[in-house]
Amino acid sequence: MLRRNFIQQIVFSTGVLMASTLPYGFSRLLAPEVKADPSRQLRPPGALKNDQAFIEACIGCGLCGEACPPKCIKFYQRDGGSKHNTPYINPEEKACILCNKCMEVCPTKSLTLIPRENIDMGISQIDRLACYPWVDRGICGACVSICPLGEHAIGFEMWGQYRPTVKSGCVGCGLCVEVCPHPSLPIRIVERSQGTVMRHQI
Amino acid sequence: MNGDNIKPFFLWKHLNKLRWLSLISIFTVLIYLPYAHLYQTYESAHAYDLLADSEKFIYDTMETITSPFIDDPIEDLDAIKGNTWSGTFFGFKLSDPLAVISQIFSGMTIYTAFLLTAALPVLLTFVFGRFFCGWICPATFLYELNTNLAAGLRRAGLKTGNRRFDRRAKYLVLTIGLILSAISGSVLAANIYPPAIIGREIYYAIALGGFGTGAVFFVATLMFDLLVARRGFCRYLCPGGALYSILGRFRLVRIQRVVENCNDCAKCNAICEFGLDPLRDDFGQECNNCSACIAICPTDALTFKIRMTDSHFQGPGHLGRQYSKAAR
Repeated sequence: MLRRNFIQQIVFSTGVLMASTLPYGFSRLLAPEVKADPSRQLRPPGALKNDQAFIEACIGCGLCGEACPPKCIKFYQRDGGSKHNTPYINPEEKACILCNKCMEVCPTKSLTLIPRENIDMGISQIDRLACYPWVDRGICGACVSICPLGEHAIGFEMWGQYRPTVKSGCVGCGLCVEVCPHPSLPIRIVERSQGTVMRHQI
Repeated sequence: MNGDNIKPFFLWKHLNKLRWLSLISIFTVLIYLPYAHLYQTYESAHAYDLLADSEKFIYDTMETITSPFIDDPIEDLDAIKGNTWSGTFFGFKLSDPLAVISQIFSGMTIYTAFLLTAALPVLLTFVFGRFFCGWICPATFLYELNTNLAAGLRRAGLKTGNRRFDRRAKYLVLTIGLILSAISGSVLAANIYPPAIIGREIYYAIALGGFGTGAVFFVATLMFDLLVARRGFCRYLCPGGALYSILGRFRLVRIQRVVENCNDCAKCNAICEFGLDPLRDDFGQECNNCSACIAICPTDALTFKIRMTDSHFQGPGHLGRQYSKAAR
């Protein structure tokens, strides 16, 4: 009789143990990992540079999205794996305007308030085989005129031929990506280390 | 007994209505906030004429609602943001203690500014116990409606779940959740904690055009409550409830039984959402001071008292049949 009770208790506690991990497994099952193009999923401005550290710090409250005036911050809603519920910005749909509101409102250190020049979401890179002025298909300059950081970030090439050139002051907000009229989206936001600014500066 | 019938303060009987008012208003605010954000985005885009008709309707409605109170929607509507998981309230940041503790476990670092946002909820929990679960949690609102639905179904002759499990299972969920957070390096509690899910999913549904996965999980918990155990998720699985129970173990404000007025009718045991045993003075750390038992007690035998621990079983109620038998 005692042994029977003992076995019953063992079975019961194992069941409770398994049932208690069930919600966690369930939540991970619902949010599968996706391999997305990193140029389409930037972290909001002021985010920790190491993405794993960002995931550890973010509690998924959605405050940054709720404070964002252009509503550019989206969330991994049905996917993302361990990134689930964390914010991202897709500059091709809607780009960041560098208004600092998300950094001010974030309760954790995942988004910390830093000066505008120190924001590092990436750096934009222009495909010179597609951009209209670079292939001599007209005069554009949309990216240069929209840039909130002015001539430190993007400017025309020498002799003012309306050929846009990214400079090292670019913080990767992505407004140029959003505004670019070319259908093949010749501007991408890439990691600062992968950007080609240093290589083709005149 | 010798005429010393202590009547509880008469307003305690109506606290349950106040609680429902609080739950409804918090849920309404959670629905209002995404619309306020949409209104802010439309306002900051400066293009009323380009909005679709449905968006114009939202803009006009929100303008009518908010214009008496504010001048500049873009700045002034930022006063209240977020949800019960974490939010700003007139510049004062508040977070759920569970958010703070799981963030500490997942990141293995302590960020003081974030830690302080949970100070006020923790202090209130030390005084009022697990009051968040009964008075504020937006999921509680839906769970209690679900309980009422279950009662209606039972009256219609359908069978609803009324199983009982070990209440300590939720402490296991909390512990395992924190360990898994530390291993996987993400705040897992955010995915399974109903108030966090509700606050976020309402925002997703209204402002971002569709529910996320949390809604599926929340519906699953509703079905669990309906088909397996009454308020089962809160009672047996909720990690936040476990944390609040631990913090509120030595709470100061407790519901206690006045044995002189009790007639052993056991209505308090039937109404208690958390399956506690007020009839035998067994409130424990899991009482959320929701005052539903005070509201239903026909003889005013339950009241608030200020003390650190529950009284031991005081015997059968003095107005009950058992007591007169025992006294004879």
